[in-house]
Amino acid sequence: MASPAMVTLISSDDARFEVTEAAATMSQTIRHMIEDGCTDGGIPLPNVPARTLAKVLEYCNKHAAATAAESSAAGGAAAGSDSGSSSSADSAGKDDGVDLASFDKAFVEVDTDTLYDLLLAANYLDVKTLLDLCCQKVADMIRGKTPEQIRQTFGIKNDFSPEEEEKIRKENQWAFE
Amino acid sequence: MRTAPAPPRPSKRPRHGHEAAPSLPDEVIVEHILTRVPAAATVRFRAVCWDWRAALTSDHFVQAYQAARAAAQPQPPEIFFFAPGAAADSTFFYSLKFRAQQDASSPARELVTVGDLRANDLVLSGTKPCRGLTLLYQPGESAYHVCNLSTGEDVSLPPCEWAIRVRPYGPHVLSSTGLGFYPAADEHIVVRLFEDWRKQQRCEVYGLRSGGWRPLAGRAPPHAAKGLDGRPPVFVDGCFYWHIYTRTNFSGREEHLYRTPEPILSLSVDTERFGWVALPEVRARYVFHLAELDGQLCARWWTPASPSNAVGAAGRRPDDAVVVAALPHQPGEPAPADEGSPEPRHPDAPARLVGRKILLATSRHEVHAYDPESNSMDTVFSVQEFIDAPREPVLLLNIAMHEETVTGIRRRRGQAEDEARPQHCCPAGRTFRPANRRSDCY
Repeated sequence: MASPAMVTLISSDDARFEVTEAAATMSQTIRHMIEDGCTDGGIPLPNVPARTLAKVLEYCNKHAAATAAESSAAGGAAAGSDSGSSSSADSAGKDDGVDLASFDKAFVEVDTDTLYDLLLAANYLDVKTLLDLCCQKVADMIRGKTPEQIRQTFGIKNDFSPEEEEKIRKENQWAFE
Repeated sequence: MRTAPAPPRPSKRPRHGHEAAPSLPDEVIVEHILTRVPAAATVRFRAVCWDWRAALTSDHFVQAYQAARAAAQPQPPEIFFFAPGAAADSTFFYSLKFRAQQDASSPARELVTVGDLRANDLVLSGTKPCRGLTLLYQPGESAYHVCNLSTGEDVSLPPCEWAIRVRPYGPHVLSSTGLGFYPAADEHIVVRLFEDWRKQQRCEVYGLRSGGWRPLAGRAPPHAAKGLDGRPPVFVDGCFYWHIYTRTNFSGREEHLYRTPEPILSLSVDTERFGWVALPEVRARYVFHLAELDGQLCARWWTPASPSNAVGAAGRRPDDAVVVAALPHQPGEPAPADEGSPEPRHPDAPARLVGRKILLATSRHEVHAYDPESNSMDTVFSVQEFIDAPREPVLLLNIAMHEETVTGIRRRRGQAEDEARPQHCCPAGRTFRPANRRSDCY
């Protein structure tokens, strides 16, 4: 059987990435572009710099390989042609769930800037599981913060007047204790 | 033709200083991040800025929050229970998640503390929140409160003028109140069915957004309130259902006189008309409670002929166990409608419940997991392991299912708020283990 179809992705700073179509189409945005026949000469992704794209593709390769291993394990003898994804060391399908969970957990153990970059890229590329993963990580980071800490985290200006702020604090007094 | 999608919309929010952090678009923050924080945190975050305040109090956010929870990994079922608070006349609410293998030391989470509410005079109406809100009842005061136990928002209903306290057969026999939702008006409604001081059957409704008690369009049938025993109605898919059982309160001629055409009274919130629902004749006399199970009306009945009957074994009184939920399928157990199941199924076990257990709660602060297939039952929760519980309530339930939601209960802007009095609640993020709390509570 032929080696899997490859596509070329071009980052905003003109770096080129060769990836399997299976990994690339985890992005709904790229999937639609492939379906529309926009792949000649590579797919430009003007919003994603190389550093972030490399990280996103690391995620997509891992998950696409796990999906392929799972379906080949389920498909039995029919699926012995997984040469393209030999880079994935995890062979046993049943360990993938645990393996992927720990991969995901480690994947978002990054600094805030990188996390936001990943989140924006996942949103733009429409990789749902990666977007979920990044958003959950940010949500876990902010859940215990005060409104002032939130403003600092997201760079938000406090546009309440002192009177309004006092009123809001009284209204939800218990939430600040 | 090669088309790249439009770049993400940059945030319009003003920045202060020179923040190095890349800005996340408002839409991403609200839709994807704030829908994943605990409900109580979303209340605190209303004080961040006007944009957040508007977004977090919008109906759209309530729906997005709900959708995010539905799309996330299924969570184990979570119950809530309550206990007297540290301050006089306050009540602590706790929640507890059930895992497949219940760990005796699994911590309960403190949800909210509600002031001005005595735990010893408090019962729940219903076994699960109705679209995120819970109806609480203080029989001694004849007072009702609607509360979101996730955010701590709480409103006390004004007294229902016609529902004076009548005590001919016990304190609250002739009244029953439930919480439902009326989609056409997009509001929660509280419906109270009762016998007034002139012995007229009445049904009054209170809209949480429109406010004020008003009589229903449809007339309550004669004697309807006589067999309620204070038990709340069940709200399923736009209808309230009351189980009416006059035999409990009357005998002989009176029982015959007050008998209703069918044992279940229904009320459609859309048409505001009453109707009757029949039960299979042979089972009708053994039904004591209705419940909602997987979105359907469910009647729990017991068979006196079977001594091993699991529900009967739950306690001294077989009528004292209310269905609160069906647990999800356990891994490794047979799927529903598995025709080739080697074990003979219990004849009364509904096919769609095969491989699942049903949670039953009792007024003695216990929860049991009942396996319909083997007709066996385990005690999975007893509030006594956590706290010195309030005494057994006169009316049934003090345990119900918990849902994390951000459903608001405040009126729409511009409406008078003096009639419905907001209370002060205190959500707390602390967790505690049974051993820590036994002595200092109550």
